[in-house]
Amino acid sequence: MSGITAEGFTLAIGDKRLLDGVGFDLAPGQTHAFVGEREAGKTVLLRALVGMWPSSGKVSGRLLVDGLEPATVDAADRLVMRRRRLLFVPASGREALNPVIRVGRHFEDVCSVLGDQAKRRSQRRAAIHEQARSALLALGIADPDRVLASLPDELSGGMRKRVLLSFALLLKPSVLAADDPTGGLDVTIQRQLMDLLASLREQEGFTLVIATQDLGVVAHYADTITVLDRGSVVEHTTPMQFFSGPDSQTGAAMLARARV
Amino acid sequence: MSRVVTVERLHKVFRLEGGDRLVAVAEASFRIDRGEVLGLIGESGSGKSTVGRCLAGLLTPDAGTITWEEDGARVGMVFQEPRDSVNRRFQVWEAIADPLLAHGMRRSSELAAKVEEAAALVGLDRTHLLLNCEGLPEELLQRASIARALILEPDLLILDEPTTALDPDARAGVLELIKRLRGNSSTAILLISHDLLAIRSVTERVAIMYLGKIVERGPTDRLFVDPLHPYTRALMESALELDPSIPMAPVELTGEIPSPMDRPPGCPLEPRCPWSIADCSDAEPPEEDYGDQHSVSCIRSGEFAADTRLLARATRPKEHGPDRQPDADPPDGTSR
Repeated sequence: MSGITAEGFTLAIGDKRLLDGVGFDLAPGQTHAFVGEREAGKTVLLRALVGMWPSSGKVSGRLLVDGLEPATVDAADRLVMRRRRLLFVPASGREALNPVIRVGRHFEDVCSVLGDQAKRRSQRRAAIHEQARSALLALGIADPDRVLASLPDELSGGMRKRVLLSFALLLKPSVLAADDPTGGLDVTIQRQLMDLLASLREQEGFTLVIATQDLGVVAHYADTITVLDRGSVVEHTTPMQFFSGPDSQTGAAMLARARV
Repeated sequence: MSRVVTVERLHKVFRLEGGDRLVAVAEASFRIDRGEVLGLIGESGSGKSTVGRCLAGLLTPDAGTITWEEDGARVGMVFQEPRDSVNRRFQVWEAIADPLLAHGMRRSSELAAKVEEAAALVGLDRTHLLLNCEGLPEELLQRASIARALILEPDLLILDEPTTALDPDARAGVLELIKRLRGNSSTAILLISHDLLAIRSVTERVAIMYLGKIVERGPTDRLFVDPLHPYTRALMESALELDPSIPMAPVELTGEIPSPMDRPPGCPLEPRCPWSIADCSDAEPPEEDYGDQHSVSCIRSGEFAADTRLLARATRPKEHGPDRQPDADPPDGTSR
C-alpha cells in the first residue's frame, strides 16, 4: 500500500495557476483533509488526485497516487487506474447521479469498470443488484430495494450521499476522495455520514481524502490537515497542532472565524 | 422586559396537489421579549421558516394566535440568500431606502438621514451606499438587506438563515453584527438557523423544532448544557467542537428525518429516539414547564430532570448500530 505524494505539482489553465507548486506526503490508510477558503484549490486538488482536470490544463511537477501518476497515464493505464479504483465523491449527490437513471442502473454502470464475469447480462445484473443491496444495508439503509428502484431526485440529500459511498464497498478503492462530504446535509445526518466514512475507511483500508470548510469535521475525523491558499500549500499539520495554534496566517484566520 | 409578541398553539398545514396534507407547524407556542434574540433551531423540514413567515404575515396560520403587544407592530424580514432579496439594479442606498419609498416617503434629506442611520447600524458607511448591488461581496449585500429590514424600525426583526449562504468569513461578520444589534436596539430578533454554534453565540433563549413541533424551549445556556429532550441533546452533540481533544459523543438518532407529509402519530421523534417507550406513540406529548421559561415536550422529561445524568453521556443506552430492531427493548428504567 502506498500513499499520496506531491512534489512541486502545478496545474495551470492558460496563465492562471489553479495549483501552484503543491507538495505533501499523505500516509496510506489515514484520513487527510484539504482546507481553505473558496477558490483556494481544495476541489481542484482533490479532483487531480483521481486524474480529473480540464483537457486544457497544463501540468508540471509530480503527483503520485497509489503508485500511479495521474498526469502521465496513457489510456491503458487510465483503465488500470480506474481498476485500482480511485473513487471521487463529488460535493453534490445530484451532480454525480444521472437524474433519469434509476439507482440500480448506476450500480451496474459503476461495476462495469470492474470488467469481470463474462456472465450473461441478466445474471450479471442480478449479481450486481445483490451486491448493491448488501452494500446499501451495510450503510444503514433499511429498504435497499426501494432505493435501487428510485430515481436520484426521489431520495434525500443524505440518502444520495450514502448511495455514492456504497459504491466504495463494491469498487474497493485504494483512495476515496470526498468533496465537501457534509455540505448541504442536516447536522444529525452529517455526523451519521462522517461516522460511516470513518468506519468504511477502517474496514476497507482505503486512504480517505476530504476537502471541506467545516473545521469541526476536520478536528474530529482527520489525521492530517493541509491548508491551501490560492493554489499553494501554506500549512501541513495535524489537528492537535492546528487547533492549538495554526502556523499559517490563512489557518489562523479560518480558525478565528469558525470560533466566531 | 416587555413582551413584543406572544404565539399560542400556532398551526399551519399546507394542502398539496392530490389532497395530501403537510403539517408544517404543529401547535407551536413561544414569546419574544423586546431587546432579546430568540433562536429557532431545526433541521430541514422542521417548520422553522414557516413559523417566521407566519410572524411576518407572509402566511396565514390555520389555527392558533399571534398576539402583538402594540397595535401596528412592524416586522422586518431578512432571507437566506441576499442576492434573491435585493434588487441588483439598485445602488446600495436605494436597496436600503426601498421600503420607505414603498411606504410613500419622498426622496428628501429626511430619507437620506434614515438610510445613513440604518446603514450605520449594520456597519456600512457612505462610500458603500453608492456602490452597485450587482457584484457586491455577499457579506456587504447581506448587511444591506439587514439595514433595509431595520429602516422601518421594526418591533421584530426576523433573520431566516442569514448566514447559511455565506462563506465562513462573511458568516463571522454577520454574527458580530447580530451581537451588536442585540445590545443597542429596542428591536427583538428572531434568528432562524440550523447553525448551532451561531445560535449559541448570539442568543439568550432558544426554541428547538422537530417536524413542526417545538420540542423544547428555554435559556440558551441551559439547553446547550443540560437539555431535557432527547432530540435537543442529539442535536447539540452532533455539533462538533473545534477542539480534537474533546471526545465526540456517539450519534444517538438512527435513520432519517421522516417527511412532514408522513408525521408519525404521537411524539414525532419516536421512531428515531433511543429513549422511546410504548406510550410515546399514543399521543403528542404535552409541554411540561420546568421554570425559568424552560419547557419540554417529552413524556419522559420528568425522569431526565430528576436525574440529569440519565440523558447525559455516562448512562446513555448502548449505541445502536444501523441494524437496530425497531422493537428492541427500551433502555433501563423505562417502566412506568
